[in-house]
Amino acid sequence: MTVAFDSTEFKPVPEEFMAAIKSHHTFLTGRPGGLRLKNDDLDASHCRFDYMSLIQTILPCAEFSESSCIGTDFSEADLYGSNFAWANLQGANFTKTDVRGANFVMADLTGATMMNADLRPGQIVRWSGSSGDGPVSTNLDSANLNDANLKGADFEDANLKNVRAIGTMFADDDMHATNLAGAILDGADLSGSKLRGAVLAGASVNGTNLSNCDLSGANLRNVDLSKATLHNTNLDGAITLENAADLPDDIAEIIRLHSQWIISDGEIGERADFGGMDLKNITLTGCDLRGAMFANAQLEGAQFNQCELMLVNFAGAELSRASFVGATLRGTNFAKASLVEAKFQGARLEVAEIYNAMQQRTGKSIPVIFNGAVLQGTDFSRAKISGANFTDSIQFGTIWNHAKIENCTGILG
Amino acid sequence: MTANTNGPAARAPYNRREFSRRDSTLSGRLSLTPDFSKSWPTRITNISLTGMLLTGEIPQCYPGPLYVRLDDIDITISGLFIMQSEAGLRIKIGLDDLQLTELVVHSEVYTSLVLEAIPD
Repeated sequence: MTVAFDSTEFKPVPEEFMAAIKSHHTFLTGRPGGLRLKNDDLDASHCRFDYMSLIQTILPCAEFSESSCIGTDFSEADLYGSNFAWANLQGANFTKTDVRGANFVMADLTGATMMNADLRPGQIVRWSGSSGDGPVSTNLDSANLNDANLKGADFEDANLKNVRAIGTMFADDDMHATNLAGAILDGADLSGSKLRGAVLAGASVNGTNLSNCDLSGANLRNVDLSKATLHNTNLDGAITLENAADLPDDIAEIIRLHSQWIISDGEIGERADFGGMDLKNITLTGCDLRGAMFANAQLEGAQFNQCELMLVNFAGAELSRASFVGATLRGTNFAKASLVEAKFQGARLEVAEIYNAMQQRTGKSIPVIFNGAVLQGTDFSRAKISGANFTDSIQFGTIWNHAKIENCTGILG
Repeated sequence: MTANTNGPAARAPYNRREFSRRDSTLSGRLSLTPDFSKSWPTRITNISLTGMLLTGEIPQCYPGPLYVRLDDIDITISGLFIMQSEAGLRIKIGLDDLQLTELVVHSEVYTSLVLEAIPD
């Protein structure tokens, strides 16, 4: 990703702010007449601060969006809840800086240093008004962190979705529950980092050092770990793409592009279309295939165990003896598919409910569809099935042992 | 104002990306009647699950129902006139569950919009 700054018209730094910076420098050297720079609502968007020293300043909620801060030194500053969206922060220094709840969306942090910085969620409290929302996660969505040094930083719950972090130093970071979906981490060093419960779905980890990492419970769907260093790595309970190295190159490439498509909300990559393909006995266990198309594909004996299969279209597919054990299926379409002796043991088959931008239910939903499917000997033991439509399906010897069934239509007997 | 981690009030940093409406390169046909006896080619300049901005050689439209068919997808999407200006014709879309299901099968854009609207 290239971030274009060339066309940006920068405003001069306000005179009173420049005077305050000068006074701050006097304060830092301990000379008389100095005053620590403190401003709790600075608007410095579109300004140029290249190579300036803002060490130990107190600038919570500052507005630095689309500013140029090349080589700027923010070490030990308080930048709580500040906004650096689209800022050019190449080579900037955030060592020991408090950037809790800050926004770095699309910022360019190439070669920046964030050693021991605090990037945990932050919350801004105002005397009036109360939205009731929780703390805001620090947001580095799509930021460029190539070659940056973030050793020892605290990224707990931060959003690093789609970041480019080639050769980046993350060693020993606290990245508990961090969102790294779609991140490019090639050659990055995450050794010793705490990534428990983190989301790395679709991340690229070629040559990435994951030694001594705690990745327990992490989401590693569509991540090919075969080229990462995994010495003493804890993967207990992590959802991983099994046998990624065994997938044919063309299938692996389709899944890689599909991951990009999911994570970028359709902006980049490509929706996977396996329609009509011969994929007998393929193993896609642990894959995130949301929205993929398998219509009329030959999938006898295919393994979709633990897969995320929301809105996947299997209409008309040949799925005899296929396995969906422990998979998540919301709004999945099996219309007229052949599922003879297929296994759905412990799977979750649910309605995909649509929410609006305010995260409120809209009342619209898409059920799992088995209309006209052949369910001969299909095993739904211990599955949770809610709102699915089985109308006109052929149910012969279908196994429902201990399945939890709610609001379904068309189930015989 | 002060900044700390206590208390219930919060402010989300702005400039967060909002995907609920997105630019599109889709094209289709617009009609004033559901049978498409007369229709006009149109570009869907932006789209969400609840609306579209249509551009192109569009006739003057008035408040009431309008219909859109996307190229290569044989599904009639019914909408309601919201406003028309030099920027184009903005319509409100009301899709039922069946139409949504069909559009998810046939349209990559609608699949992506629906995926975005379903919480993890």
